[in-house]
Amino acid sequence: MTTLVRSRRRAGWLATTGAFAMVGLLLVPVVWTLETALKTKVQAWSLPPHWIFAPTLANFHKVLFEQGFGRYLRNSAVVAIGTTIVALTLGSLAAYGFERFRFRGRQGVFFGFLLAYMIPEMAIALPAYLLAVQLHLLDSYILLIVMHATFATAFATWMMRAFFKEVPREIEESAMTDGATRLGAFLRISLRLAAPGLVATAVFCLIFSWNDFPYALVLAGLKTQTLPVAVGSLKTPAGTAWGGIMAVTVVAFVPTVVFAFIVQKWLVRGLTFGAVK
Amino acid sequence: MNQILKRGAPARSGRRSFVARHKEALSGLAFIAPAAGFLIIVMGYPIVYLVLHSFNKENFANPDAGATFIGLGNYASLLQNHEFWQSTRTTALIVVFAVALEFLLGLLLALLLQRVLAGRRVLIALMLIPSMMMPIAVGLMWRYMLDDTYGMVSYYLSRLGLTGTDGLVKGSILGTSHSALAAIVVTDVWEWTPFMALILLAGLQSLPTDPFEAAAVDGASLWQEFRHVTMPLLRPAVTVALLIRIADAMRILDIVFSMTNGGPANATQTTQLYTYRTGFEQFNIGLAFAQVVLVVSATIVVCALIFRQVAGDRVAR
Repeated sequence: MTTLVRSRRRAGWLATTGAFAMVGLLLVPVVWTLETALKTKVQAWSLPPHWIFAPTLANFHKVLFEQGFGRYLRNSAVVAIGTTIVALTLGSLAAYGFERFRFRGRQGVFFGFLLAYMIPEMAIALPAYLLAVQLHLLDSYILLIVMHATFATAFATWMMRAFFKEVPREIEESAMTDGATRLGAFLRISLRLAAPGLVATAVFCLIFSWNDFPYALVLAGLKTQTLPVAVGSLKTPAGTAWGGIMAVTVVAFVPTVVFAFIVQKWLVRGLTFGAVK
Repeated sequence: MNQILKRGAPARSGRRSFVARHKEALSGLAFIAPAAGFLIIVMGYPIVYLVLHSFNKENFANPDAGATFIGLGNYASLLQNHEFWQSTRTTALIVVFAVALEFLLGLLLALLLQRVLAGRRVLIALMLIPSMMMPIAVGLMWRYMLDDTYGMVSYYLSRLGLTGTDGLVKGSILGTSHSALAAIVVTDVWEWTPFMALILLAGLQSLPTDPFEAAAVDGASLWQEFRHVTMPLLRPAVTVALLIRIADAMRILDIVFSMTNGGPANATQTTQLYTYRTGFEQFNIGLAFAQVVLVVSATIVVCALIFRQVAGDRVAR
């Protein structure tokens, strides 16, 4: 028995070392990006790579205050918040409908929702462009919000369904015996008990919208240009200012990572609930 | 499936009204209707539009002028189009290699994490970083690291003799077709392996303990336990993880756009990039739509096949 315990223990330490090594390796590109963003042009060009150097914030200053990336940040934020509001409202209602009621064709309708998440964005974006021209909606926030809300609603439905499954039916039923309507029970009990899930889902919707490239590429114009398109259009000829580009990259991903960290516990639960339940 | 049908079938009663008989279904649909209506209008209309217009010869730059109905003409010319087949092959290669590697590495990472003695929370938090990053920025990041002149990874690879005149890759990494494709796969694997690992870890943690105890009593080796106990039980989590990743990888665009922009010589042009270029750069809208119809049909078939597995797994439990 003791040898078994000892060997289990040794396996545990091996696994710990292995996991830290893998995750460490995974983070090398992130560290390198952060470092490059803090380098001068000359430092970013020098080889062999310098891992230790005197950092400067010049790249960030240039990107945010001279190249006008602040505007793209604002556009991205407006679209992401709008998308999240629409997707959470529609998605949590639908998720509740799928989770609490049994009827013929339920599985088929749910598959339709999954498809809405899985159909390539570019497939919808091209015809949407032509329709937006006719409706005079091109280069408007509302167009981007509506388009982002498609995959976000589908995803929110999938994720919230798992969180509603955790809410005991009995609590709702006793509320309804006390005179609450179905909608009342949903709003005052289920939604409240699933609040952490709602927050995690909101963060996912924010991040999806924030990161979206295809819709923004086709449908955004000068006024509504979001961050991904601005990032994607950065030219990279020989001798390019990689420090500046990496600073933009950092500005683009820091908000998502910070959000993810804040709700980490619920994010992982939501993600994986949806997957295993 | 049968179970659901049986439960869903309302009891026959002549006197009760339609609403009373279908109360369950109607209440459920009432909750689903706003989202379903939204999706049908916002996605359904463009889909109908693109299917109808895929039979036309049309110019994107001037959509109102000259739309000529040419039947299956666009489809016929697609099937003879080298670029179409090349983009399909490229995408298939990326899906197969990227998802396979993500699954294997993700499973390894999940198995390690399950046995980790300390620091699991920190590891999971750090693992979220790649998947939360903007894919277009991820592509840019790897492009910089693989840059011929200034790239950190290129530098170490050439020091190891893997690139350069005597190495595996003679020219620049992103300028050579095979290595550019491999670089895109590596980037995708980097971004999504942790995500795969998290789903599989959740699957592992939700498994019942009895079968493992039984296997231990029977003196199963670690490999036997993994092969005959862990893997079969983990199947539902595996299917879901694969469903998400395959569907995502089939529409890969962002990383390719910022890393290679389809180059060199269209070697890394994926189906989505081909759609964009045909429609938005060559303005050949009918051809672009025909290609979208074919690609989306393929996506639906693949997702439906996997979804049936998922649904089957759920009913079985």
